[in-house]
Amino acid sequence: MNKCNECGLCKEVCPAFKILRRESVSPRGYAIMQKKEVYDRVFYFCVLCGNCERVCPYGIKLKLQEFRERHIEEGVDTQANKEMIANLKKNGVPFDV
Amino acid sequence: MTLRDIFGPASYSDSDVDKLVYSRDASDLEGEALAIVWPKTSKQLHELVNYSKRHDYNLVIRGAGTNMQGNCVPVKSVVVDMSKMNKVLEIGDDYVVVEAGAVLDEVNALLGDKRVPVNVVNYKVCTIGGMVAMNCLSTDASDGRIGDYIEKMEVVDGTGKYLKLGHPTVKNFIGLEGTTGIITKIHLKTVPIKKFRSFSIYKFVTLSSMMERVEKFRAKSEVKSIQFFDELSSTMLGLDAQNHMVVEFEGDIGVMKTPEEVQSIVGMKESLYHKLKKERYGQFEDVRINPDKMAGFLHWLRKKDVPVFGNLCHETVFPCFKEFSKLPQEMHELVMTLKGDSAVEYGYGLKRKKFLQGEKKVKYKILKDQYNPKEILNRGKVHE
Repeated sequence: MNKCNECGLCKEVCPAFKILRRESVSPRGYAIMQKKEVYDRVFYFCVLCGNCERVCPYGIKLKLQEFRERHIEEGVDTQANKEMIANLKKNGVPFDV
Repeated sequence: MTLRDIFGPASYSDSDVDKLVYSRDASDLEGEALAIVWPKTSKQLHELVNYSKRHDYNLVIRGAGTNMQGNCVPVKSVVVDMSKMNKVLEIGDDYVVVEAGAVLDEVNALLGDKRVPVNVVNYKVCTIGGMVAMNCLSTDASDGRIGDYIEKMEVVDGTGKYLKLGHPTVKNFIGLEGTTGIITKIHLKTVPIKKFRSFSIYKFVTLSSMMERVEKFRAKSEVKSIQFFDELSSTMLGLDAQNHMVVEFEGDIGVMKTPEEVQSIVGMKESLYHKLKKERYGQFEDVRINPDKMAGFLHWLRKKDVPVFGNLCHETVFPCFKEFSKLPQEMHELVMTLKGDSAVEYGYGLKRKKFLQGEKKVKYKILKDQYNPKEILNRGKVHE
C-alpha cells in the first residue's frame, strides 16, 4: 500500500466517489487509511467494481473485500448487513418477507 | 451557531477518518485537519469566512487534492472541499460558466465540439477552481494559461466579502493559490476542439543541436507543442537513451497521425509522471529558462543525473529530484543566475515558499494584506 503516491486518478472512475464526492469514500482515501492501518465502516461504500485497480499506475489492489471479512470476524458490521444476514438465515432471501 | 449549523450534518465532518484522509494531498506532506466542510452555496462560504474570523479558524481550500507542493495540506485548519460545488451553470456559443468544483473532464464532456482551452495531465480529476488558483499552464503550447481565458469570476475573499469580478481585478485571484479568496464561480471562454492533430518524434545527440531545431519549429504556426524528454526520461518511456522531442502539429504534417498512434503518444507522455514516481522521484520542479540559456541548463541537470522533461514552446522544463535531495536549492540558485523563473506551474504551496522572492513576493504580500489580512485562507502557504 505504501506504493500509493496519492495522485488521485482512481477517484475519477470510482462510482461511489462520483456520487458522494467525499475523499474518505474514494480509493485514494481507502489507501491512506490502509497505510495508517485504520479500518473503518466507510469501506462498505466501495461497490467492489475494481475500476480503481484498472487505472492505478502503480497496480495497487485495495483488498477491500478482505478487510470487510476481517471486520466481520472482529464483529464490526453495518446494521444493513446484519439485517440481510439474519433475513438470509430466516427467509433464504436478504429481505424481511 | 456552529460550523455544523452552517453546513448541516451531511456537509460537515470532524470524524477521525475524514480528518486523516483530508490531512494530505499529492505532496507527501501531512498536516492536521480540525474539520471538513462541503459547501454548496456562496452564502455558506460567506458565513464560513465570517465564522472563522470570529473564532480564529483558518481555512484550506481544496479542489481535487492533486497539488504537489502541499497547497491543500491543512495546518490545524478547517478543510473546505469544493467537490460539491461542481455544477456547469451555463453553456454559451463561446463560453461556459461553472462552479469552482467542476472537474475539467466532466465540463469538456458537456461542451460538444468545444473545449476548455487548457489541458492538464490530471484532466480527469482536476477542478476548474484549482486550475484557476494555480493559473495552470496548458500542455498544449498554443493554449497558454487558464487565466488568459477568464472573463469574469465570483469569489469570497478572506475578509468575508462576496465579490463579482471582471477585468482587471479578476487577476488578483488567478494564480494566487487561494491566498486571496475562495473562487466560487468562473466564466471561461471556450474554443473549438482541434479537428486534426499529428505527431513526430525527433532524437538528438547534443542539446545545442536540439535547441537550434526548437527555434525553427517555434517559428512555424502549425507547430502546437514541443515536448522534450532527456536521456533519462526517454529511457523510462522505452525510447533510446538520447534526447527526444515530440512535436505536435495541427493537421497531418506529423508522421504519427492515426487515432491509435496519437493515443499512444498522448498515453506515453501522461505515463512519465507515474514512472518517475515509481523510481522514487518525488520532488518535481518547474522552471522557465530563456532559450539561449536552455542547453547549458539542461547540461547541468544531465551532469547531476537529474531526469528532466518539458514543454519547449513555453520554455518550461520539469527537473525531477529524489525526495530530500539538496540539489533543488542548488538548481534554484542557478535559475536565478540565468535570470529564469521558478515555480511556473506547480506553485509555491508549503514546500517551496522560500523560493518566492523579489517583486513577485512584494506583489503577493500587497494582495494578501488587501484581501486576506488575517490569513483566514491558506494560512502559512505561498509565503510567510
